[in-house]
Amino acid sequence: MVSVIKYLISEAIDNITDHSEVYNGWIMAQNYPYKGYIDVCIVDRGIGIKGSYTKSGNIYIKNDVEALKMAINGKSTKKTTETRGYGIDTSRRMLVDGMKGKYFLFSGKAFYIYNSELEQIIPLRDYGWNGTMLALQIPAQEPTNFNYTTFLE
Amino acid sequence: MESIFKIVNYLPSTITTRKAIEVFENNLICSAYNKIIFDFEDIDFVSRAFADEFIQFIKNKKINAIFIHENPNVRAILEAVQKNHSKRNKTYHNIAVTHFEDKEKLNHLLSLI
Repeated sequence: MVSVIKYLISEAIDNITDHSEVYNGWIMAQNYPYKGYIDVCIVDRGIGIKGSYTKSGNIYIKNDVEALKMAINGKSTKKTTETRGYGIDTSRRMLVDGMKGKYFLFSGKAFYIYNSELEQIIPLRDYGWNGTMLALQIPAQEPTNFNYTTFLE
Repeated sequence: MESIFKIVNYLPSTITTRKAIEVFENNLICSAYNKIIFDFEDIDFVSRAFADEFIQFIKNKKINAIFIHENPNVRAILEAVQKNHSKRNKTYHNIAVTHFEDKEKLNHLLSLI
């Protein structure tokens, strides 16, 4: 279980250092022992996912919705694309498909929500987040026979 | 020529960032095709991001690398990264996009999450 949490958090924090163009972010975590899960929120006020694609010269990503789609599908903003871009996709599948947790990713004027009942991208008209916000709801117990390494690509 | 590089002498037991590769760049003396034994003893966890940088570093420097004392989690991450350095298999995952004109409906959806 500790390794899963380390994996999920390390991927998210590395995205701040690697893509956000800012030097710091925030992390909040709260354990709900009676509800049986841990909430983790990792936030930065950087250039956002779309901003990271734009900076790398990707002119085809026109808005935050397209940026989220690309990020979730593992398209890296970096030039060495073949070995990168796994963090978001692997994390969301590990957490939701593997552990029945919840995954929420908000950047600019769109957010992505993924849980066992719902997967959607929702664009916002009137407000947004200048930067990237990731919220994870991590069940306190791993399902029987769960092995996070099987989700690694 | 063969040498041993004990990683925990330079990095913490949990290695999470790509930037950690700088420790290898600054402390590892090697020339192409040198055999270097990377000792992962007391390394509890490496992130996929670090593993990617590490494998790329080994490739770029043409190091004949051997890993020892990796725990199963570290080994799994290194193997996953090595596998994908040679082949990436990806299908496009379509995601529904839903527009909400009504803030109340959006708030209702958010309350259900």
